[in-house]
Amino acid sequence: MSNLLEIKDLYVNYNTDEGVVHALNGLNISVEKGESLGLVGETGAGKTTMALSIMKLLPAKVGEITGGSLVYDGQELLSADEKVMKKIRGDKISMIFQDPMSSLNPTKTVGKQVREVLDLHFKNLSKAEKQEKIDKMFLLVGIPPERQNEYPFQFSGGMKQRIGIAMALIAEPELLIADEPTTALDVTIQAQILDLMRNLQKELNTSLIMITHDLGIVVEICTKVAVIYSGQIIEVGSVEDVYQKLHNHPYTAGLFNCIPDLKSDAKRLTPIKGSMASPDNLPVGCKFCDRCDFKTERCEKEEPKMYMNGTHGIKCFKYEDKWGE
Amino acid sequence: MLKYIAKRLLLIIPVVIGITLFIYLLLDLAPGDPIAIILGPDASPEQISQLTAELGLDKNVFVRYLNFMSDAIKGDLGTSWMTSKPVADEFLQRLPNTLALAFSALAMTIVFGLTFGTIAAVWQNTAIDGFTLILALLFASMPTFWFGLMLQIIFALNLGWLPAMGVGTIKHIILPATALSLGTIASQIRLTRSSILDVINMNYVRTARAKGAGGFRTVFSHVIRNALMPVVTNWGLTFATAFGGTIISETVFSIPGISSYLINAVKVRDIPVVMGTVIIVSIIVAVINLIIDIIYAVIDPRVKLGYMS
Amino acid sequence: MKKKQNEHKKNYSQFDLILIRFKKNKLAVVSVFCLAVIALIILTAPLYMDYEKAIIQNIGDRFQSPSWEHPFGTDLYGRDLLARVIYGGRISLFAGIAIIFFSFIFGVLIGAISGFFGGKVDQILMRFVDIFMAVPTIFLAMAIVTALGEGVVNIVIAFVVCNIPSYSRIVRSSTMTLRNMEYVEAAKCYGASNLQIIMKHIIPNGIGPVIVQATISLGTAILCISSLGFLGLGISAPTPEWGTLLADNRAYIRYYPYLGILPGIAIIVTVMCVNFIGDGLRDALDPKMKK
Repeated sequence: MSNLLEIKDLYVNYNTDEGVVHALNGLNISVEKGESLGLVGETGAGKTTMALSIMKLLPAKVGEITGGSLVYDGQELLSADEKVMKKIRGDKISMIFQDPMSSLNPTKTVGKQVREVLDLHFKNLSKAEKQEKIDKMFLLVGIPPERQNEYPFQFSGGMKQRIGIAMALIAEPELLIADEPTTALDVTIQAQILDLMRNLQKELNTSLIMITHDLGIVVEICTKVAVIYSGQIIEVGSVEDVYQKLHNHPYTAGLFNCIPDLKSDAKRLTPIKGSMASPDNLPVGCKFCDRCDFKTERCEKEEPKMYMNGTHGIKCFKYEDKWGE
Repeated sequence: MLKYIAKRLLLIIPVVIGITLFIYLLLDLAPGDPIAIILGPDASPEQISQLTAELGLDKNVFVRYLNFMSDAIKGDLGTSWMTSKPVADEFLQRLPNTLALAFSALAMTIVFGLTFGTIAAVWQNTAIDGFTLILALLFASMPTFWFGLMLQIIFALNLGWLPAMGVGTIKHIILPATALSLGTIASQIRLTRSSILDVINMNYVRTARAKGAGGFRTVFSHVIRNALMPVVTNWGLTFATAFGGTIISETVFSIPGISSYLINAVKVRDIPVVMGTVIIVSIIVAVINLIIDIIYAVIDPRVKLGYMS
Repeated sequence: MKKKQNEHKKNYSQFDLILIRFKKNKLAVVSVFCLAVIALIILTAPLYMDYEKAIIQNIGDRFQSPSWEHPFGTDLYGRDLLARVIYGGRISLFAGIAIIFFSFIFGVLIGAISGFFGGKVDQILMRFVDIFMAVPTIFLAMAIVTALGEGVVNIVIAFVVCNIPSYSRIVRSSTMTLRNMEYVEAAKCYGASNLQIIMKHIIPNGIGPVIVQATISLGTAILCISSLGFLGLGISAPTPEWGTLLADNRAYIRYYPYLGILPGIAIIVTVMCVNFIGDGLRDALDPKMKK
């Protein structure tokens, strides 16, 4: 299968009043057609930055892509102008945002907000055809179509996220980026939304990037996993590769240790010590070295490469000899 | 909606009662004898006692207030102590000039404030933005009377482009309204700018961009309506400020509005005139605020649906 | 976007941070300096300039253009305009400060009581506030001046009455928001008294907008006082005041422009400094507004 999206060596900075923040530091990842990738990482690791970079929607004047390449369907997006991006956004690539409460315009009916996508990308459809598509989409995400003349404030959080999904999927995009779509929701609603996304993804054969900090969500929905840390992918592989726990990056292993395991006898969870390196003052070598139990002198000075074993890749010197590059 | 309007109109009543009672009591405490004001120093004791009875000054202040208010409801605001003419007649004769001036200023404020505020926000942190903001602050720092005098001297007396004083044509209103709206335009620009910037950073604007909407479409169909909300709320205050400011603008440009009437009344403590002015002004301001609230409901569906239910 | 808190940076106190942000605003810093100079000139006037110069008429010297002897020229009665502007500033500036000071105290008191206790107290206080907000400031001020008579003190009282409502509204709404904040709940849970909560949580977190409002309304107050003066309702002659001295010379400004321009600049510069400081304070106290 061919890669739908290929990100190579992507660097993104935020220029803030307090100085330059290095959000992405040479990020590499690819997504194949129909594949669902889970992107896991803690707050501040660069997950949302990556998503917004793909859409080229980084905050104007503050966020800046400083290097790398971002190829979508054979087209380099970094050199693409706003006109090209406008055609891609919402039509080819669409996005579901983290906070459904604030991601909908409070003064427009939800129907109008969903229709806007059709108005932008399906100009040749008649009014009735558009309406039919909207009604179908509302049914698909489980909202009665007669509620489309209501305003966002009349819906609950879970319902609003369904509308967000409807908006993202109505154009049947090739790639859907879901940025922590369930973080702001109750657990029961979370399961419903994930169910809905899984079914829709299969039905429409959309590629998916599911951004989350929850390893549990990934295993439910995704076929491929990437772990992001300090703006780099430090481990990538199929769900089986990673969740077998035979070989993991020390950080990924640490993440697994933070999940309660009913089968384990351990009385306490083992948290990862310390906190993520400050993105305006990153270590030269491995970005995780300050928190790593396996740290050597070399880790501090030199950055490890991604060492591969089939589909499984780990960015740690521990695997330098065992695995190839 | 109608029910809401009726309710709001009823709410004006206690406010008017409160403010008139306050001012009536206050003016009653004021030093100076109205009889002396009206009759002058050479009045005979009979004249004095007769007038005292006529004005009801021998009665308790609350009784007088009640009499005054019951007359006011019938449209009789009493007669001026100075001119002996009915306050209501004279006031209504002057009011159109004042209202025309205040509404022109409000219109100018809305048009220029929104335009330049939007420009400043769209070109945020550029030279245009900085220039607009500093100019707005300069305008906000200028006294209306000074700016009015300068306008009058430059554009009317020296250049002769526009009439220097009085009323009559549209041309007459340009300079007074400009002088009057300067300060409110300044605050409108600043409010519009900050409100638009707030909205531009909202998540739903990013959602619109993610849907593929261009910059222009995003601003017009997502930003402006939401950014207008705080701006529209401020129109009530803008009108009140402009309405108050007409006093100065009218003085500078010798416009026969309510200002000269009120200023003279204040100078000689002509209480019926002051009372009448305050009553009518507070009703006008309340009605304008009501209208602005209704406009607000049109913009914000949350408020609109709140009224419906 | 997500930005990591910089752990390695020095821990600044809230006040330090405000000061640092304020200092970044060059215009505001320059304005503080300017206003200080203006205040100093006005405050120390009696040390270097006779009050007589500002009030004694000397018709023979009228309408003299600015010169070394009379830097601002002389007015229609031959009085030194610079002296009148400086002594006039005493009234405008100090009456302005007095207005802000008393409005601040009463406004904060009423607003805090109303917001913190809510319920009936709030209802009653806010109805009063509504009443005073119903009439434009200058009308209300004129009505009060009618009752009390002219003079600086009465003008201050009139504008204090006019200003209290807007202050108490601001304080009330921020108190109400803060009262329901989780850290206030938390403080209650570990047994803090009402007084402790008000002193430690409500005031430090809610005072910002009020200070900004106070600064900005100082500019407005100066303009209002001079406006009343211009209308001839403020201070009686021959006491100099910025509004009255413009009104006095009004008819002659066309022929002797300095009569209008120089006092005008004095007012504008003073008010502008105040406004720039207010702006700087607002940005410093509310960093999110800056972006």
